[in-house]
Amino acid sequence: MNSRLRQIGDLDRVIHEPARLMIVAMLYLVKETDFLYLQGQTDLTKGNLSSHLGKLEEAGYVEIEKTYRGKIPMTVCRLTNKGRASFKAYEAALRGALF
Amino acid sequence: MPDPLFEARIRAQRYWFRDGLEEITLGIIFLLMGGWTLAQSKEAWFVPGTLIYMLLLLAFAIFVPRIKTALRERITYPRSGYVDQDGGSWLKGRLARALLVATLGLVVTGAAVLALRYAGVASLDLARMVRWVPAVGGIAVCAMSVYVRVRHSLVRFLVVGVFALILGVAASIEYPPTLAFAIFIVGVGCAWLCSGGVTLWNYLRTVPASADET
Repeated sequence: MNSRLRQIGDLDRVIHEPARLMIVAMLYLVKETDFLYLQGQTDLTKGNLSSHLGKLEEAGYVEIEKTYRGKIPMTVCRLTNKGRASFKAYEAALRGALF
Repeated sequence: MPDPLFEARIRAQRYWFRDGLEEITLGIIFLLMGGWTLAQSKEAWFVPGTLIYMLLLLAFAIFVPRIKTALRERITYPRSGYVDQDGGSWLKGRLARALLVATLGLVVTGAAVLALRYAGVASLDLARMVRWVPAVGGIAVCAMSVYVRVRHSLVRFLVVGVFALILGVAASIEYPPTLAFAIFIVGVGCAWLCSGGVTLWNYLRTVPASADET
C-alpha cells in the first residue's frame, strides 16, 4: 500500500469527524467566537454542536467560557494551543496523503 | 480548486461588514473632516473651529472602538453571534495593509505629478497641484473600495468608490481647492453613511435577534 495513503490511518480521529472538523476549522481562523456564530456557520443543531464542543473540550482542543452579554448568557469558544497544533498537523497530514 | 479554509477566513472577515457599522463610522469620520476643512476656510473662526474639530476627531478616534463594541453587543451579537479575529495576525495584516496603502498613495501621487507635468496641464506649482487633491482622494477611495469589492464581494463598496471618483474629479474641475476638498470629503462621508445606513436597516430587517443563549 502507498505509504502516503497509509498516513490517512494516522489522522486524528477527534478532528476527523466532519462536524468537529467544521468546528475546529472555524475556530482555527479566529481568536474566539460564540455559540451562535458557530451554529450559523456550521448549520448544526444546538444539541449536536453542544455535544461536539463537549468532545473537543474533553480532548483539550477547545476552551469554553460561559459569560454574560447583558442578561443573556454567552458561550465563548476558542481553540487551545494543543487544538491549534493538532489541526495544523491534521491539515498537513491530509494534504500530504491526498495531494 | 478553491481553498475552503481561505474562503472561511474571508467569510469571517466579511462578518465585520454585515451590519454596516464600519461604513457608518467611516462616514462620521469623513463628515468631521469635512467640517474641519470648512472651518479652515472661514478665517474668522479658524483657530477655535480647527481646535474644536481636532478635539472632536481625537475623541471620536479614541472612543469609536468602544462605541462600536457597545453597538455590536446590542445589534450584531444577538443576531449573527460574536467573533473576534485573531489579534496577532490581524495586527500584522493591518501593518502590512497600512504599508501597502502608504506605498500606493506615494505611487498614485507620483504618477499624478508626472502625468500633470508631461501632459502640460500644470507646472509643479503648489496651488495648481492642490487643486487636484480631491481627484487623487477619489482615486484612493475608489482603489480601496475596489479592493474590498474584490476581496469580500461587496458591491456596495464599488458603488461608493465610483461615486467618490466622479465626485473628486468633478469637484477638482468645478470648484476652488478648499471648497472642492470640503465638498469631496462631505460627499464621500454622506455616501458612506447612506451605504452603512441602508445596510444596517436591511440587516435589522432580515436577521432576527436570538433571545436565547448565544
